Amino acid sequence: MKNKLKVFLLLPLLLLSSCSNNKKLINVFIYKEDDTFIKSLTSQILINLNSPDYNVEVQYAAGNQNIQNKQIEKAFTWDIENNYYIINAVDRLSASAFVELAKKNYKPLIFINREPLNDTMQMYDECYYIGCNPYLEGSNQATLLNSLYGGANKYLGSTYDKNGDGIIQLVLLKGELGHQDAESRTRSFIGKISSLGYKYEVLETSYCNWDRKLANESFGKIYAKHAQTNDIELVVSNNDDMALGAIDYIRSRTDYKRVGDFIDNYFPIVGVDATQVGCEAIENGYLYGTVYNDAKEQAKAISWLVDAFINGLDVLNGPYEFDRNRVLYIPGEIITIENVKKIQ
Amino acid sequence: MKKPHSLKNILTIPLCAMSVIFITIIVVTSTLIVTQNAQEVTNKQINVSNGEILNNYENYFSSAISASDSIQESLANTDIKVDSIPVNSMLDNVKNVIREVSDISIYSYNSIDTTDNGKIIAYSSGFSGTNASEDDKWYTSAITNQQINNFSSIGEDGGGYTFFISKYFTFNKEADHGVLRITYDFGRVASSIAQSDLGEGGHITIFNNNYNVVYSSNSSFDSKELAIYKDLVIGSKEIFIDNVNYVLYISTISNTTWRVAILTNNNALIKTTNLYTFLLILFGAIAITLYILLVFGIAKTVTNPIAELQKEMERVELLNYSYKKQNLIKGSREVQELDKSFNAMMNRINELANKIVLEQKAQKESELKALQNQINPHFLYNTLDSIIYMINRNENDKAEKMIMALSKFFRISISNGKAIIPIKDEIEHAKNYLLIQKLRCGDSFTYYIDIDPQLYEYECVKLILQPIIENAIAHGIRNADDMEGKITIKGEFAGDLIRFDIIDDGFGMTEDKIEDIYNSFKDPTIHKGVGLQNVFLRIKMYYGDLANILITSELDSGTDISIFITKKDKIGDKNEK
Repeated sequence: MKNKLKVFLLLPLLLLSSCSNNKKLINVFIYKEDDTFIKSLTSQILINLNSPDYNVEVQYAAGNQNIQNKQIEKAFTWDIENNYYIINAVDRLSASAFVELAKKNYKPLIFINREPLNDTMQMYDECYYIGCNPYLEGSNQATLLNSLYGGANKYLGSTYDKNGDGIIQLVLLKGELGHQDAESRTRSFIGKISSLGYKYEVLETSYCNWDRKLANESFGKIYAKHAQTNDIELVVSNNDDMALGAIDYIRSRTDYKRVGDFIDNYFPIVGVDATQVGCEAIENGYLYGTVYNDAKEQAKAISWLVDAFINGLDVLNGPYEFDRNRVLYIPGEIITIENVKKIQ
Repeated sequence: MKKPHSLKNILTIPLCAMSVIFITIIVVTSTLIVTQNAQEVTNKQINVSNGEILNNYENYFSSAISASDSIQESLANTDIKVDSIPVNSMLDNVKNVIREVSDISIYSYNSIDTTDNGKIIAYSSGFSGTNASEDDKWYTSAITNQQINNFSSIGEDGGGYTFFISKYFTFNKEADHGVLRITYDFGRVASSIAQSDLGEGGHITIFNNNYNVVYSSNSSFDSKELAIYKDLVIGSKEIFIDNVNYVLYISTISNTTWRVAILTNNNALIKTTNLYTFLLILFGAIAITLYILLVFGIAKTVTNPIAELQKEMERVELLNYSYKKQNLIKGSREVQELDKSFNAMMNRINELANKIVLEQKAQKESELKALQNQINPHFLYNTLDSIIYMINRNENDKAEKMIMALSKFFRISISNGKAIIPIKDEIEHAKNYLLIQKLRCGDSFTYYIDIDPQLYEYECVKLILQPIIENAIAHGIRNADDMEGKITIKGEFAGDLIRFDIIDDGFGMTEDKIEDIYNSFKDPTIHKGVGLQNVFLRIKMYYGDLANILITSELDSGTDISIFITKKDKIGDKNEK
């Protein structure tokens, strides 16, 4: 009833807008407003899609899938022809419903940041995912450590091998349990580090929910537990924030030295994302390295894809190479003190 | 000509029409508002209730998932194969805390060395299963979708209202992999959901993203409904199934690949609004009827007394002026006042009518008396004797004159029965009378007549001069003296009036005598100066207040009787000339 009324009210506007050269409405659905990475991704998308022919409308779901359902459902009620949809799902398992809606209305669909299940993506030819590549990020963490260590054969007896057993004793700081990125990054790191020939031993695994404060507390406990043996040789974090949580703890102690100093008690800490604070920590020598979760590049790809939809370009023969014809992982660059200036 | 409407109709028809229109508008608008509001309120209620149901499910599943997560987390650094006994008791604890959990079990998995795959490595109490195999869907889907908690359809693998949450996970410091399986009893939640009131035929269906039904509260679920679900995907809309109106709401269930469809019977709303509309129209009709009756009642109390009054008035048309005793008509104050006034009026009319009758009677009597006076037998005998005497004395001329005068005198007296005659005739009549008397009495008096000729245009009541002349001759001639009497008749205009004077030079009258005569004018029962009284009454009756008789008299010098009448010409009243 109400919707009908709205349609009636909007009909003249609709006709008007359709007369005025079919301005396209690009709906961006974001899972919540206060996520640092998502914030920069959203603003990058807005910059890239800034065009007189487009209206970009960003809607936030406050972390509630039901709210997002309503927002998306509404965006599929009228003038669908001139609407385009970019979805950062609250719950990636809900994606199948949106794919169905898009398929029913013959509209292409872009998922960002949270990748739907492959089954879901395979339901419809014109649904795409653009995001970071968690596997590459994990393996890049291993790669950047490899260049620090100078190869597996040089690890034994190096300054990093504090107990001199040739095995990397490491602590894992993981994000959300069950989160694709947390699991994928950890697993690909483990896979890569062992394929590079290193022997490793996970001293502790701690789920810190992507959170700096939580990581601070967790790492404090771990550090205290291993203070006697002093055997922590590496901290691998799923993101910069948790790495910074660990650093916050270490900096509160006096027996920790920075990378430039001589290294009796030093162990490298690596993260993912290359956030502003992360980069600052690299410059200060606390964070050894990170892998860039490139919001700029992702936003560029998303915008290119939207343009391609609107202008009827062939998506698969464009500048980007889609995995399974649907999924585009934007690789993240390795960031250390040498190139940190580049992204700041 | 169109007959004008009765007062009753004028009062009742517009009032009734107004009330009908007014009440109809009220009924229609309030029906519209109420149905609209009811629809909105119901939609809101349905939304709220759907939200609650969904919330129940999501809470249920998220608590299930967080149980799974916390197990995985606590096993992240544990070598389950070595420490299986404490792991088992930990699983036991979890199972005991969450009452919906029937059992928890963990199976090993290795993508490279597959020999131990599916082998059970830990389990809680209540577990009675075996190793997992490739045929177990929960196991294979956990391997396929490693990052999510996999929900098996209810009863798919187990039996009854149970389902599994299975999850691939790593433990022993990322060294080992396995599948965690938690068996849930859906019965409790299902029963709490079955209690939510969705109206007749309303039901809840949970299905997965391939539109396979996981669970339905409708035991005879018709899979045709799935087509409707497929059409909506998510959101809500009104639908009809077997002519029953439902609100269908579909939502995803967070952290699962399942969706829930909630069908709420909307007919109850339609029934309620229909009932409301019916009641409203019924009350509206009753209100209109009562109002019309009331208006008719009021109109009746107003118009009935008026109708009665009207009946009373109709009697006037029949010249029945009789009036009734006061306040017989009941009604409003105004009507009673009207009735009072009407009675007073009738009273007055009655009085006036009676007065007129009496006055006419009196006039006729006066005229008759006057005539009687003229045809006084003595006068006639005397006159006739005089004529005989004259004839005997061969005074034929004189006799002839007398006879002629007498004839004229009587002709004018009778005047074909007319009461009003030209002034000229009245003067003529007086002259004839004077002539007769002069002829009879010899030269005992002389008379003079002085009339303004313009008076002849007018008429007057007949026989007003003669009785006074008769008095003048009778009382005004002093036979004792040898003096010759003199009678003067004058006629002139006196302002708007006509004035006649009969003047004699006789003995005159005393003041008392004059007073007596005036008194006799006022009271017809006093018989003094009968002739004057008679004239006075007749002119008063005919000319009204302005007519008068004035007496001026001086003893031994004479009397002047003045008659005042208004001007009336032959055509009618010419006073304003």
